[in-house]
Amino acid sequence: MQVLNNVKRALLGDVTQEKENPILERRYEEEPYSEPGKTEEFRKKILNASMQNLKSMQSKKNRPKAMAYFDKIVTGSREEEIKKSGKKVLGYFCSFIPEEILYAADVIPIRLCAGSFDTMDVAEGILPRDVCPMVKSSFGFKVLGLPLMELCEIAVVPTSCDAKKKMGYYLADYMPVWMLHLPHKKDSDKSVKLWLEEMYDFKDAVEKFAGKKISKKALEDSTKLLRKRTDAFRRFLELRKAKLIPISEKDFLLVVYVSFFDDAERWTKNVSLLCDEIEKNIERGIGVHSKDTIRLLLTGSATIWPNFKILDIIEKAGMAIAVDQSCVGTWHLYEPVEVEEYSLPGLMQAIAERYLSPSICPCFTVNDDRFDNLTELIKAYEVDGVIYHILRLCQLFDMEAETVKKILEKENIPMLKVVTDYSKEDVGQLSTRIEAFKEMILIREEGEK
Amino acid sequence: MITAGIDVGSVTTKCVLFDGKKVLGKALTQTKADPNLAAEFVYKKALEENKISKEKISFIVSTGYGRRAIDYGNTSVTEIMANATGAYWVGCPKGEIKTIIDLGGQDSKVIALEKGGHIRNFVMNDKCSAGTGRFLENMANVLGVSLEELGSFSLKSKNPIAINSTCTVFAESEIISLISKRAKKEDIIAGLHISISKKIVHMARELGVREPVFFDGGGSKNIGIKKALENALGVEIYVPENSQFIIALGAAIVAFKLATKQQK
Ligand code: SF4
Ligand code: SF4
Repeated sequence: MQVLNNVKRALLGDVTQEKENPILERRYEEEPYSEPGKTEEFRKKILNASMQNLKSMQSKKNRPKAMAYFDKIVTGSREEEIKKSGKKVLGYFCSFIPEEILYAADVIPIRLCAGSFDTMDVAEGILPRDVCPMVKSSFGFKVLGLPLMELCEIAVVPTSCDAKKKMGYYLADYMPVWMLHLPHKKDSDKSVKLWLEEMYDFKDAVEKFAGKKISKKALEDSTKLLRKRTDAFRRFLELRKAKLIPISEKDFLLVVYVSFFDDAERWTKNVSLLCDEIEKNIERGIGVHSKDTIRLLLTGSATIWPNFKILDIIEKAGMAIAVDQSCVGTWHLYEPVEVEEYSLPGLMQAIAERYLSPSICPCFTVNDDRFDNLTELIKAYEVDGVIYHILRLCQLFDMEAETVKKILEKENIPMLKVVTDYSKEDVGQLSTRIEAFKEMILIREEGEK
Repeated sequence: MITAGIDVGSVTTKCVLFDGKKVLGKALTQTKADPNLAAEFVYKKALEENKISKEKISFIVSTGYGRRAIDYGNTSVTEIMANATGAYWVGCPKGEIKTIIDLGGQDSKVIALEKGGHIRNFVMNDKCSAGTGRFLENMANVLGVSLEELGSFSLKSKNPIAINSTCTVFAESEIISLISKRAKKEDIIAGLHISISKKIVHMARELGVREPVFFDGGGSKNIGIKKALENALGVEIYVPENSQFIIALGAAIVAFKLATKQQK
């Protein structure tokens, strides 16, 4: 225990002296189970899965050329770059961690939520069987010592869903873990206050971790930098409204996924280039799906690179996803930090607000914002149907499905609920359901004509 | 004009020939390992038995889990679509069908129809075999009873025994232990039917059960399940004649509609 505590002190200073130690304790004396000998083998497996995705994505007609940049980053060039930069690296989960604070301290943030089927197996011996695939997959990266997890000196886990809460506990056996206290009743004053305090604590901890103070200027600069990223992203999302679908959901999710670990400024530049190209394509009437393709909205549990199983099936059935409502897609980068007053407290206030109140994660007890957002998206993107994707054992999304179903019935929008995981064994059954969904939508539309 | 529908199911493959007004012929075989072979077999059998030559068939539509595995057929539709089409055409004495329950070999599903027979919504079991024909087949094996006998056995039961597991593996050991405790076969079988119908009832509730309810697929020939479903849902259920051919018939009807469109 002593060893790890020393590591923590080195990383974060002796936080214990000032207030409660926010870093989780390692549970056991002995070294945790790991499989460093398999790192190379799995690195290859993961690369293969990425390559396979890319191959099918690159073969699609009218794919914007500017996607080449994202293809390059996702297949590995970023790892070496981060190592060479010599900067501190912090890993995090979910969509609640203020990257503004990290950039202000010159720390590189990496979002660690993983979608790899290959890494689940090794995690299964350690985590209980009945844990969602996303947590198993992410945890497997640590056990196997894989990039980019391995670059992170600390992991920040918000107390979002139960799986994430307890994963922090397991992860703490391997590396320092900070559990960020995310309140679950987001609209109450108490929660807002607690979250703001949590943001200040986070800033303190990051300063210690980085070994430098965050000045008002630095925070202002990083906020402005990331504001540009949000603006570029919003432009990208606007373009998706085109009648002729200008980009596939797979490409869209890849672009967002790359933002999890890419340099924000360079990412922003490349998204702008992509948008320029898409804009021209729209003007010229060029799209990636034909005019009458059924437009769907995908909502529910995260579909993280390279687990594009459900997207493959939808694509094969000849339908298109016009937009998603997902924490690894549309809503990860969507909200801007709206600063009213450029002082340190003003900035902190704005940052805290951005990461709590507009969030639509199902971990919030009352989540009406998600439902309102859903109906807005359906109208704005003129979708014909909704695919509600649930990763097996993801209770929160499963339990919200009932509400969504009721709302969509009222809106007269058909919805298909699918419960699945990262394995390929149910592809046949899922295909039947998704094809039947298509037949159902087509007949409906015929009836309306 | 004559068309054919071929339903390649996980356990059996069926073929129906249709002329726009009535069924001209039908055939059934076990799918076994080769869906293609099974499809060809039923198709030829249906033609030969009814002395119809191949040239007369203007359109073939395949359906079922193996619909893509077979080499011929002009196009395919999902078994959900085929089922809705077939059931709506066959109809039921109580009026326009609103709900279809289908119990097949590997899948069970519930389809809600709106006016005109259009699919309003549907639910299918997920990848495990609980609540499907496969499950019953396994249990019949354990009990040393044939699949066809299950229904009549269950009717004899006065005290159905609750079977708690819907998982095939666990249910099997539960039954073995019941047998060793000398429980009556008919009570165990009746209990199994209740347990399977519960799975289906959960799916049906998701959609909301509206009458008339139509029950088809291989499992619908089992009177025990029909009774158990009626008890659990509190409604009367209609099982048509030749209920395991409804999906193949639906495919043949879709084929007829498509062929008519093409001719225009
Ligand atoms: S939905 Fe919420 S809890 Fe789940 S991964 Fe996304 S942000 Fe985290
Ligand atoms: S929200 Fe669902 S999928 Fe995401 S980590 Fe939690 S349990 Fe897993």
